[in-house]
Amino acid sequence: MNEHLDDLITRYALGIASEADVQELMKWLETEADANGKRAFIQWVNVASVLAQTVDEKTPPASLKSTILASLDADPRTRSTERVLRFTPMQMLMSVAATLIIAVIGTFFYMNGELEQHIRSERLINSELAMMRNVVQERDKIIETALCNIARGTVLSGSDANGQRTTGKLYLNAVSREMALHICRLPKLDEKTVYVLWAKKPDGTFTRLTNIDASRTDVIEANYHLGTYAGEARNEFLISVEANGSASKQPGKTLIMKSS
Amino acid sequence: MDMLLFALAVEFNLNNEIELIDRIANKDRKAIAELYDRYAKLIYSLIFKIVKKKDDTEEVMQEVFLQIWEKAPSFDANKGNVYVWIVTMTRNKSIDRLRSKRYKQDKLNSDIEPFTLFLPSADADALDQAVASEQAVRLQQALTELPDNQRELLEQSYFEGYSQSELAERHNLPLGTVKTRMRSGLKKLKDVLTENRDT
Repeated sequence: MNEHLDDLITRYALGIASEADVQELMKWLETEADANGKRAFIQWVNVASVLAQTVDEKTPPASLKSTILASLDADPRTRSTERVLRFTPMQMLMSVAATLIIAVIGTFFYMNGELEQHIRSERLINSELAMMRNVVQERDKIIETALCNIARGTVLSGSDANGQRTTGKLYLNAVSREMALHICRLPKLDEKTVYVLWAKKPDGTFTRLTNIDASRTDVIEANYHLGTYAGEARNEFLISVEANGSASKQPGKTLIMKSS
Repeated sequence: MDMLLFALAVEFNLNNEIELIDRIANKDRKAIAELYDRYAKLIYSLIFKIVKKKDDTEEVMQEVFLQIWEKAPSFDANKGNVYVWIVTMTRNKSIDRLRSKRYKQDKLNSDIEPFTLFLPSADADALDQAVASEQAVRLQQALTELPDNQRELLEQSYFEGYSQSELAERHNLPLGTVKTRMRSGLKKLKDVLTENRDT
């Protein structure tokens, strides 16, 4: 027999087999097991059953035999209580009366309890809803804050004409020349203009890196490949508003954000 | 070790016992009384070993005899012997009680016939011998000679109903190690029985 089968039989013999184990064993016994396999199986089961004989001897109380024999013919539904129910007719009447009183009182308290339970449940649901709303709001704040305040990036900041402050961060991997940009609340532009990201070169001139798609909502998560410009950048960046289609090599006057 | 073995106290006369179960199936109260006299100490001791409390032991013992009384008509001597039937039923009922207190919801279904898989009597000669007193003595000795880490696992699964996963967690062991130790331990005990039969 293989290990898997041995494990199955071990579990079965020790009385800890799952239903799936039993099914698998049954199938094996019916279809695959030869005489040796069946004999081995029996031996494993024997071992476990003989374990029962290794326990310390205890003697049952003398009264237990008569109790058990007396309970054999009782209705199965009342057996478990038959041992203790030995009432006289008067005691029976009193117990019925007591049961009725308890039932009436119990029903009253039960209904009261149900109502209170219902009110409590509704309050609980309302408070949970409020809590969930708070959690969602907090989560949005956290996401926004996280995107805008991740450490180690180059901070870009500025204000638009309406005084709306805009911040963002730019991350540059000098080795892979990959750049990631996170900006919150970049104001939307009309179709004639576009945001452009610039990098300042060592000689003080600017390199136009890319246009920024600002058509999306508050947060821009953009990945750009800088090409050869990455090596020239001095970690100074700025974002300007340019005419759509302009090929200008210098940023316009409308600077929205610059690195600090 | 001051353990007492029941093997010498219990007579395993298969034919008599099967006849006894037949009579119980026909609701013969003398027969169940006779079975009680024969098995009471073994059943009571096994239950007590598992559930540990006197009150629970008495209740479970009552449940076992009620089950014997009710299930005797479905007992099939071709599928196993009376001893294994009763011991398995007793062990399962006791573990049920233990688990109902330990986990509340995690319950073995002890109403399932415990010897569903037992084999035709033609293959059961080893079974007859396995329950003989001499083998029980040898098994007891073999049990004490097992490494602690194997014996503990076998005893905790059989007498406390822990699954292999639960044992792995309790002992902080990989599941594979638990399986290997239990398999090895039980195999050593089996070899004791086999050796006895073959000699």
